[in-house]
Amino acid sequence: MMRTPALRDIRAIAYYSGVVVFWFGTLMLLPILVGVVQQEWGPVIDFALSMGSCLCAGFALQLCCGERDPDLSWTQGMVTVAVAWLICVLLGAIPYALSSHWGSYLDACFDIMSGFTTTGLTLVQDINHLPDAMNTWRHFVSWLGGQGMVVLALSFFAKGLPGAYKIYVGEAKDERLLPNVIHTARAIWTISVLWLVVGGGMLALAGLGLGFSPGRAVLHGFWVYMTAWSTGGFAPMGQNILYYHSFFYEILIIIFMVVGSLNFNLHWSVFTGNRKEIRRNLETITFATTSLLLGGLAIWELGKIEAYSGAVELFRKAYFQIISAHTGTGFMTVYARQFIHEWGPVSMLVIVIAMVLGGSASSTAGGFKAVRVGVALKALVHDIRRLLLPESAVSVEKFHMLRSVVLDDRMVRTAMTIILLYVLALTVGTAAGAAGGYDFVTSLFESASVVGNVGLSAGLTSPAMPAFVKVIYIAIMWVGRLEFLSVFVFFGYIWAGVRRR
Amino acid sequence: MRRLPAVLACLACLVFGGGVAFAGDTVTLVYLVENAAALDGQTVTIQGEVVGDVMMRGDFGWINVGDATGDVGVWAPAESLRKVQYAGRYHAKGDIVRVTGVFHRADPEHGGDLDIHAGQVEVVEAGGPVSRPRGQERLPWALASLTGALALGVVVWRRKGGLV
Repeated sequence: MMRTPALRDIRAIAYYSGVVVFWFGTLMLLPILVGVVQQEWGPVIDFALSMGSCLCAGFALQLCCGERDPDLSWTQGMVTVAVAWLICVLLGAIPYALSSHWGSYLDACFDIMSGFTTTGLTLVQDINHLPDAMNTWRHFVSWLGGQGMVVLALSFFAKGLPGAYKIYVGEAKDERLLPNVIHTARAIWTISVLWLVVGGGMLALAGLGLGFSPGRAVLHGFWVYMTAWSTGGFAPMGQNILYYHSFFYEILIIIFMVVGSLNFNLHWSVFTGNRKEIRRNLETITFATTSLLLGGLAIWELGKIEAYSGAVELFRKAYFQIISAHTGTGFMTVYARQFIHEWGPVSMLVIVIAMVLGGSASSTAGGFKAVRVGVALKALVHDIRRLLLPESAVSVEKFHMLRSVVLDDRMVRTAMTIILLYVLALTVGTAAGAAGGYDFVTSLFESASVVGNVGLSAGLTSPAMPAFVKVIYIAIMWVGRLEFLSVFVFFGYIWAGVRRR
Repeated sequence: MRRLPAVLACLACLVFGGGVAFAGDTVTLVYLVENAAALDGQTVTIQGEVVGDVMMRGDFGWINVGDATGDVGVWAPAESLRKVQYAGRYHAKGDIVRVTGVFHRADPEHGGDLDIHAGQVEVVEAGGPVSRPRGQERLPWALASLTGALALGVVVWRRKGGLV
């Protein structure tokens, strides 16, 4: 029987949501600072208004709910994440909605959800004249979303937080780098900030070589880095990465996209000296295999139909797009309509597959995740092998992920359930696109991009698309990023509350 | 009757979103992308605002030109790009330029980019600084929300001995 929410549950959920919203609000100091430096006074006031709203909401939620619950349950943890994300989206969209660059509050919410979930699809208008403060916020939100808003809030707790692990898992991160989950959250942020300094610095230096002024090189370097690492895919200019016209910049971006799509556990292992793990890890092996295979297929098809002739062009166009899709980033060096007009059906299918496969678990990437694909394939091989062996034989399948892990039925069932849910969401997204009047291939492509939190577009996503498609895409981005569980529990909780009345 | 061909030509330009693609007539940027295969290697003329940055790369350089329908990269001699004074950003309206050059669907010289190699870049309208609204009408709301947050923060601090 479903457990109905008690007042104590609601108070605990509101309290922890309030904490997340409070920290989210304080982060608006960054765009305010950029706006002050760049003398963008209108956006500064909009961000101040939004920041004040977040802080008011955060404090109010804490005050109305008294002390934190010392014994947070799994349900409370999951619902907290879903609620906190929703409130952050609704309040974080205020500066967008107040600017003239988004057509409506719904469009603003779409872009914030796209940023949080590291999707990268956007409904912004006249992006080339966007204030630097707004661009900073867009990329920063994506960077925060990659690590996780809850992970950020947890890392600020000085003392132990009872039940912290249950909130942490709710944000689709389930492994501990360290025994204490708060130390784990801090470790994730340490890794992210270190990479931000290195990656942003490298892209800033590269920007100087592109012909940017120093200030622009730094801004573009850090903006692009933040969405490459978080596999977000927002870009500061209308042409996305094509704007830079640089092979070297693209190579750096490919590196950061791949690094960002790796499991934080793997980062931590390498960070603490275990470099062998890169070669032995099931996820890196799966990702390397699938990206080489899919990239090879795309290059073969694009070469065959003579979309691109030389080896360099084929690599730059095919491989960049495949890595962007596979890591769930969504950066583009081709125009959206070129996919439809110039990429053959095989290349399009390959991109769709890459998008839904996604990167590693416990990373910034979306999609099925490499570990689930690896587990599903291992299970298939194991089942075939078992059928070929004598009935009395005992067959054990193992894989390596930081340690040797025995493949069990529960693990396979969990992986297959999530894959099935992703396929279901893909179907819903495709049907929504088709119902909105778009052709099947475009709808499928865009839906795969939304489900996998990727951000590549075949031209469907635009301010002119029907409002119901925007709403469905927002919902799919949300459930896809939180890997369904938190959102399902949230709605289950609401349903249980309604039924009780 | 003598005007009829000209009228029909204008109608064709409107219907096909930019017109026939040869030097002299300007084409829209979405028209370039939508008809990239047919226009590949042809000389085209576009007109639009320079956006973002002028990126000098030795004797040549890149500008990105945008119109109401999209943006495209233009590779041009550095000398002609020096005429561009303003690139469009938040605080500036970029120069409006007319560019005539060879259109590439997949430029072999630049890694397969869709771009234009321009022979000349002509500034047809100078850009300049743009005065943006300062949002004074929202200032009271911003101050009110921050004051409210401060007051609530004091209450939280007193009750819990910290902000969270």
